Amino acid sequence: MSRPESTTNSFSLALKALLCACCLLLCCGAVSTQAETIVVYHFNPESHSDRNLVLKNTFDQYFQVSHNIQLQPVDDRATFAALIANKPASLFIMSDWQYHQLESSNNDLTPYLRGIKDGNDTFRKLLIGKAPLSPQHATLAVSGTEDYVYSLLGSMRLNTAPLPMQQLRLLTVPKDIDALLAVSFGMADAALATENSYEKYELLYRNEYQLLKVLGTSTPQKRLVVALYRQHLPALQVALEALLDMSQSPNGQLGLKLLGLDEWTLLPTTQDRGGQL
Amino acid sequence: MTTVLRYLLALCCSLAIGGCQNRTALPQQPDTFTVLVVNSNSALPRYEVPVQAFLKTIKGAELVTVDLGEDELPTETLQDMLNAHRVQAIYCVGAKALGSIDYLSPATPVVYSSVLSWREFQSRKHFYGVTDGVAPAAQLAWFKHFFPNIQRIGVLYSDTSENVLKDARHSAEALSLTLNTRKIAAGEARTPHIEALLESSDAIWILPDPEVLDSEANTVQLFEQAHRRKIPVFAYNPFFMELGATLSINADLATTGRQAALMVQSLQNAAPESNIQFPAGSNVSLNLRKVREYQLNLDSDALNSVSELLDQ
Repeated sequence: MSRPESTTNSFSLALKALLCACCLLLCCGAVSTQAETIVVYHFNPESHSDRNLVLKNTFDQYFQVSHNIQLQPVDDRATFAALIANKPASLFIMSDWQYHQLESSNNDLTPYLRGIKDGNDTFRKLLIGKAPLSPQHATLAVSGTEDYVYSLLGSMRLNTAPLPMQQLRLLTVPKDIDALLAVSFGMADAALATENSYEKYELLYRNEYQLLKVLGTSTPQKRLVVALYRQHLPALQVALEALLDMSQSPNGQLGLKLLGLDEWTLLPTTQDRGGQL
Repeated sequence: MTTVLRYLLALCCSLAIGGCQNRTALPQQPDTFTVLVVNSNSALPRYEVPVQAFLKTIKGAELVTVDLGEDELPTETLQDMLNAHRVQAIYCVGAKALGSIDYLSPATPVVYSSVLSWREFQSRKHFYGVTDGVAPAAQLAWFKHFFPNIQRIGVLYSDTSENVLKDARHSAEALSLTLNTRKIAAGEARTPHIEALLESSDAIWILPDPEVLDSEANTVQLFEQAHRRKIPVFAYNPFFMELGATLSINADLATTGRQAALMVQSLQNAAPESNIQFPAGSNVSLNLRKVREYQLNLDSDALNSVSELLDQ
């Protein structure tokens, strides 16, 4: 009698052990699924950061269809630089200017995708005003961060006398069109805006546009870049593919338009570096 | 000798008087430029956001801040602050702050923002401000930017918004837009006016007019009539998105704080060129559901200007 009991007990114990093992596996699975969430960080000093919420909602809506990916917009450069310095298995969407600021201190950070608009991977910023800027004081309406703006102005080809850099006062506004309207309505003496925004302004407000002059032109600026640490490429393939596929779905296209892009393209150098996309 | 003494005495007197005159004429030369920042209520983002933006932007000034949120005797508090500090400029955010300072009427220049009743203060000497709403011309420009096919914009207005509308008409012409307008009197039935506007317009634009938007029921009615005809409503505050507005353009509060900081800084050298500035920054809310439902032609390039998107 004792032997069958013992067999039953052993069977019951084995069942319990199996059950525990299953639970453990499930728990670990859940934990690892959580751990596998890929974060795509976004920071763009070329534009103001009042749009973080709309970017996050739109991108997450697109990613959640079939991926475990999240967008995390970042407010300031220091936080973004600190995140990159930790070398996480994440993607980083940033301006090309920002990438070049960071690449010297983050050697393995590699650009993989480039933003494209109207078939171009570059744009120019223009300095636009009604008249040459006063050497005494001038207010400049800009939609980018201060360090980016001064760097851009420093390398700009000017149609007027050198800019009174020490006397410039920057008025940060959310968008390029705001900057142009600020000049038209007398809140600023000049605006920094993309060529595309300036062309839009011509269609929008022809009378005011005709009063404006291009005071300076930047060198061609590369559009947004998606960078990663090469050692994390295998883990990030799925996220890179999701970004590349954005132009194929309405939700993805909406996300791209919010960034001012039509699509992402794989950088040619990526293939040379072993990219398998 | 006596004559010489008299001349010398007269010269001394005139030098002494001249010296006195010079001393009184000389402006005070404080070591630092001190700005009193008066916040109507720091618990409300409407006031706190511009204050924070102001504090981040202002350069080369000593700042003294005061929050009147819980203060039941604001004029006494402010008088104490003015007595305790040699203030060269005052930044008031909100009507409580500006009203209290106005009551004390100090000789110090005052810059203000986030004040709905800014028109009351625009003629005050030494008062400079950023208005509460985006300029009508800028609002119209944004409408055109998002919806280039919309040409005729209907506006219901009263005596209250007549002046705003007069300016807006000029701006609309410059933007090649047509404003269809209907004026209503207090207590007048508005349904026929709204129907007439909807008949002749591609969109309805609502203005901050307390006689037109005199009750929730009348406001909802306007939105419902427009919705039945699938005509978009453009608004000046994101609050109207909940009622079914398709697009809203409102002032970016942080930018108003930055504008105020630049106005205060320019006071160190000379008076600002203009007493009043419109907000230079805008927040754009867009309802994509309405865009699809009404089959509107949206310029997708404008989407990179959107701050808030309704798409569920």
